[in-house]
Amino acid sequence: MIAANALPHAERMDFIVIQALNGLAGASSLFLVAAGLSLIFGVSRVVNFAHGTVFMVGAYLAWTLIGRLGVNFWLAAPLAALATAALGGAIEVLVLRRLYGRHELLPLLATFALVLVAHDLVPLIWGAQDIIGPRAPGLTGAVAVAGRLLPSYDLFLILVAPVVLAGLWLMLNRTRFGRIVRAATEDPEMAAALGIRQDRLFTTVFMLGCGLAGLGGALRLPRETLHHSLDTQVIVSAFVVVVIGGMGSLGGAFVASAIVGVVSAFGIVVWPQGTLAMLFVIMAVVLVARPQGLFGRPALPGAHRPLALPSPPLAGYGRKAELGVLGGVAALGAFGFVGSPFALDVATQALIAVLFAVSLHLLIGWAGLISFGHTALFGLGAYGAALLGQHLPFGLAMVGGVAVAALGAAAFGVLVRRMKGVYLAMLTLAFSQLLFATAFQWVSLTGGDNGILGLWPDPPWDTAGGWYALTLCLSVLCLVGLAYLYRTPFAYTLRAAQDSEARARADALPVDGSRILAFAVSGAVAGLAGALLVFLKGSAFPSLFAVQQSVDGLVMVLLGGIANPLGPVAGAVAYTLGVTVIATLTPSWHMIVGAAILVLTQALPGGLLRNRAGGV
Amino acid sequence: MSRRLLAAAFTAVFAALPLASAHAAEPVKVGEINSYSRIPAFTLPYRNGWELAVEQINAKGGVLGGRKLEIVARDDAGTPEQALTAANELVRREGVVMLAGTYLSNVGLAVSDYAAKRGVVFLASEPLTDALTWSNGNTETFRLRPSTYVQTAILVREAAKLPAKRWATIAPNYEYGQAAVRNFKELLKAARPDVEFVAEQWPAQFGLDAGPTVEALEQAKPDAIFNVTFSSDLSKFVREGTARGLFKNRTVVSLLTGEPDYLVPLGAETPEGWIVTGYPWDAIESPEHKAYVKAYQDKFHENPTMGSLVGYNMGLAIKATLDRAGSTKSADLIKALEGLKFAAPTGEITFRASDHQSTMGAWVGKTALVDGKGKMVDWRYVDGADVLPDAAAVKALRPAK
Amino acid sequence: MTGLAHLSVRDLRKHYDATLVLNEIAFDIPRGEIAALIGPNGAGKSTLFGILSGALKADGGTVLLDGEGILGLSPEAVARRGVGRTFQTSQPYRSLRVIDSLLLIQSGSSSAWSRLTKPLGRWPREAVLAVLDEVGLADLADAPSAALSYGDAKRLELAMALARSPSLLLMDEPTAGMAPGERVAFMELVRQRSAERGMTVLFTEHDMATVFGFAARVLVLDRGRMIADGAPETVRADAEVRRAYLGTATPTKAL
Repeated sequence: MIAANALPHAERMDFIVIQALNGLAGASSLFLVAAGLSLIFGVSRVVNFAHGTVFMVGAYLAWTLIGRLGVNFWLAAPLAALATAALGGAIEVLVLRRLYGRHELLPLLATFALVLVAHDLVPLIWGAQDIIGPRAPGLTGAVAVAGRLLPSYDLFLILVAPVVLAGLWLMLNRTRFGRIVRAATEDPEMAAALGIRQDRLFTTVFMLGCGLAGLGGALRLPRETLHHSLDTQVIVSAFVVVVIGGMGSLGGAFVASAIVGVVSAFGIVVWPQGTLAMLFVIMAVVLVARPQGLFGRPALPGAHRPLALPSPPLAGYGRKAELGVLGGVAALGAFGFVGSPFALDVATQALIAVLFAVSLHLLIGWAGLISFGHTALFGLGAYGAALLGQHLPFGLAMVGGVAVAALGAAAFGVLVRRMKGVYLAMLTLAFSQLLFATAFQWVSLTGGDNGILGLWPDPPWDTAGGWYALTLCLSVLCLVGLAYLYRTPFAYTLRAAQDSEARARADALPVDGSRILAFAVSGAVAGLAGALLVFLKGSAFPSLFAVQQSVDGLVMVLLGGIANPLGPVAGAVAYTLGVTVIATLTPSWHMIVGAAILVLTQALPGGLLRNRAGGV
Repeated sequence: MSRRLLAAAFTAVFAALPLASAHAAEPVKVGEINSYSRIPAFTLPYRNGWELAVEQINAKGGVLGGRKLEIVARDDAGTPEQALTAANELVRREGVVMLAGTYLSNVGLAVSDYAAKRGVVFLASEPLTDALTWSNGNTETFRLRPSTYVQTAILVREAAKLPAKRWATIAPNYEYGQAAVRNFKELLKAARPDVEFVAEQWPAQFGLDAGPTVEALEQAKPDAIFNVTFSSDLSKFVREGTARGLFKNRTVVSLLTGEPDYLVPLGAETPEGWIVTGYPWDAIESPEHKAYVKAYQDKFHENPTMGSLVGYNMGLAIKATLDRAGSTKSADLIKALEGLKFAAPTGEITFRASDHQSTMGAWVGKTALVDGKGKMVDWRYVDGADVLPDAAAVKALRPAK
Repeated sequence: MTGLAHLSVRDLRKHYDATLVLNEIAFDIPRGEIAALIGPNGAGKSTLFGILSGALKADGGTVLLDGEGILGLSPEAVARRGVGRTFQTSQPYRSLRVIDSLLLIQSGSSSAWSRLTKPLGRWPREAVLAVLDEVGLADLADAPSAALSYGDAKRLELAMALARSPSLLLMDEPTAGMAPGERVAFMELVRQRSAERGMTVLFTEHDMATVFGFAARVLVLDRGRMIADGAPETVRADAEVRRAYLGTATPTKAL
């Protein structure tokens, strides 16, 4: 940066030109992925978490065609796109079809399971070694642009995005299929009323979207190294692009990918350390200024599907159930005396997961506020406790951690109080990613990725039994407190505002205040979970803020059943124990967990526990 | 129905967890944790390495007077949290006598802290962070592989000989990259006060956007470049840098690039003349090493990598430790490891008593393209003992006991 | 000038993009009066209701309630000033029981502390049951709102609006979709409440029998303009009103 400023003016202009072209070249395949994601979301409201995986599979398939079967790159790329389109069709028919019309997050859960399966399956099929992508015949050289060398393939990539955009535009505006797609994007109910075969439309659009992702993957080959975690990077970037552009808007995805590409290209010059945060800074800035994205419409009709809401715990179960719960708590208490240290640690971890899932369920189930970044609150509590724990006794540090998380959550709630649906979800994701980058980058405070170590509680709590006892007490207190809270007008206001926000406001119910308070309470509980984990593990790491943690929370809530107040409890226990046990058996545990989630979403789409007390 | 199902699942799972910790049975169990699912490219050959060692050890009578050595491995998915869960499970459920392994620095540090807390010996095989044996060093933790400091110091000796004055750096944006660049800057400045650092790039690990990054480096017009990226980032960096002429008339000094784990995937695109640390496995002529390579190839039908060697050496180190300690008690194991000497295929290795770092060294040389494949040429082995600070300097680096 | 009026609207303007939806709207409604707002589809009735209740922003003008400006307030703030509202398509709280919906609304006027600490089941039910009785839903108090029939859902919405004893009730097409007999009973309920408590009512309606049967005053909107305002007989005879209605495809049978 210093050097750049010292250069003469003309050379600086050359640099700006070349760097902008570099940014656009990188944006190109990102656009293909984002366009597919956006199309699918627009028509079927499915957030396809496996879209990055499809991208990756497209790249691997193209490599197989080229490297193993000797197919020319220019033929292999479209073939790979066709193959991924077929794969998309299979996913839609086999995995997603039965999940429409249920909770809008259910397809996300199912496609996340596919990501898990692919995580272990891809190295099995294509090997663990990195594979350098083959070059594109005819475009292996570089051309001189603005006094520098630009790979000619990059120039080709820069042209691909507008050509694909134009093709999609023609298809959407000049063909019958395109008109149907647009009608369905703008008003799904209307499209259904017009007699459009919804199942066929969804399958076709999903195939188209996956084909685009596969093409994006194949076209990325000449400048990519293939490895099995390519998908997670791509999916997060593609989400960000779709959200910045406006969900469902192809032009938006195009402009947003260009912005992300170019801003990142210059960003690394001005702020080389900002590579982790850049994307999310851009997204947060855009969303705060324009919550629906650059080209999105404020409210997407049909984005909020009818869903069953939770009702107060044990409502409709009676005395017997309450006695059952008491007995369960007593049994858990007794377990503290007989369990082996390892079993107690696992149980402690399950309890912490329960607190985390319950806090997320408060937002998603009760308040209808979807969060893809819930681990932000978990991490705030953990880091708050960890930072204070270096100077204070652990008890005070935990109180501090809970307070930090609650206040942070409330402040975030104030910022986003009018946002809903996928946009809110993405802003929560940005929030957690910014915190991740902070924890990672602010080495003097947080120790960076080496984390904060040596955070063990004082005796007698430093044994497996001690920490289990404390965790159990605090968890029971929290759950009882929440069960009580769920019967008060505060919680009913959250439900009423989910049923009809306009009605709730016209009835003078304090909708915004209740949502902010829901964030604060959720933050306190998630923060407590984080603080408990810190002293269980003796350490805090930036990975507490990782997307994976948030996804785990969503999986627990959806797995357990969103319409039942005990759903997140069941989901957290089942998921934690399942993963712990399977992970001790095989390193391929992602695949087994993924397969289990897939089976469960098909067999019990409402989750393990459904709503007993009526509901939709 | 689903409630009953859940209750059944719950019961089944808890029944699967033994209610009392297992007692050390016939085989001697060592717990091993690594990023098998996150970084399979390095860790799977590593696993082959220790499997080979364990097989050979048990064929020759095992450890501690005839008991079999068993390594119980767990995946950490690349996160410290998962690693700690695994460590706990290994210690408390499997009843392992010591812990070993880990690849990522932060995972290594987390397990090290856990080991100190529980009083369990931890033999870190691969994590490179200096903190592990210095600023965060503890009684229970030992490390096998040469640290970031050692690898960097070896390279700085070569870098200081170059005429280059303007240096640029590129490193993955996490502890390993940051520490490597910090070490490199400090050591090179000390050796050559006339150099200046004109640009730095910090791509996210495995997320390098190569085109713009290469251009940003080019923009600073450095004389030479210090590279710390590896794996997929390295391949992308090489390809874009070559295409854009970044390496023309510039020397690149690069960490680990000569390790087959990272060199082999580069294939025909291997850049020539980079000064690298690595492992020229097919050119080391000692009979011990040749025997090791043959055994490895026979068993796995593939060529060994750096990961394989580290895994193999770890197996040997564990056997030597157990034999010297004569027991499985942590205190005895620690005493045995301090100053332990054992014979590896590449020569004798010592665990220094002062900082618990092994003297396993690194090969430094240049990259070359031979028959369309990347190779290390003009290489020589630098023993860690020649580069590591002496006991007094190390004492100041480690926390007081 | 506004001293006597309960609701007073002046110079109200609103446009969407280039289309002017409300143009210089002005009218007064005295306390306790029942007024109907009619006009063809797209005349701006729903927009006007949206603005009066705070759900939509106006581009200019004033709205006074008891002499105090309420334009620009949030829907909650407008509601707290004594404005109740029913929607064109009834929107009960589908996940709540009938009684809970009303208890919840009633609790809205209490302190935040009690709303956080006192379970809904322990709030006093007498007033709420009285309202349910008034609209004829006492038997369905424990039923889930989602299970109500169309007409009952409309009654529930009325009960929800009445639960806070509003001084001004805005109803957007309250009887749409009801059988004629049901309509009369429903409006009779509103008239009774208005007479007993001096509640002002402004409602939109397509059914002219309902309009002329219950409104003491009729306001006519057409393409964003107020084209008539007066007693039912006067409005019925107004030439411009006839033109506006005959020029559209909207049912005009009763006019």
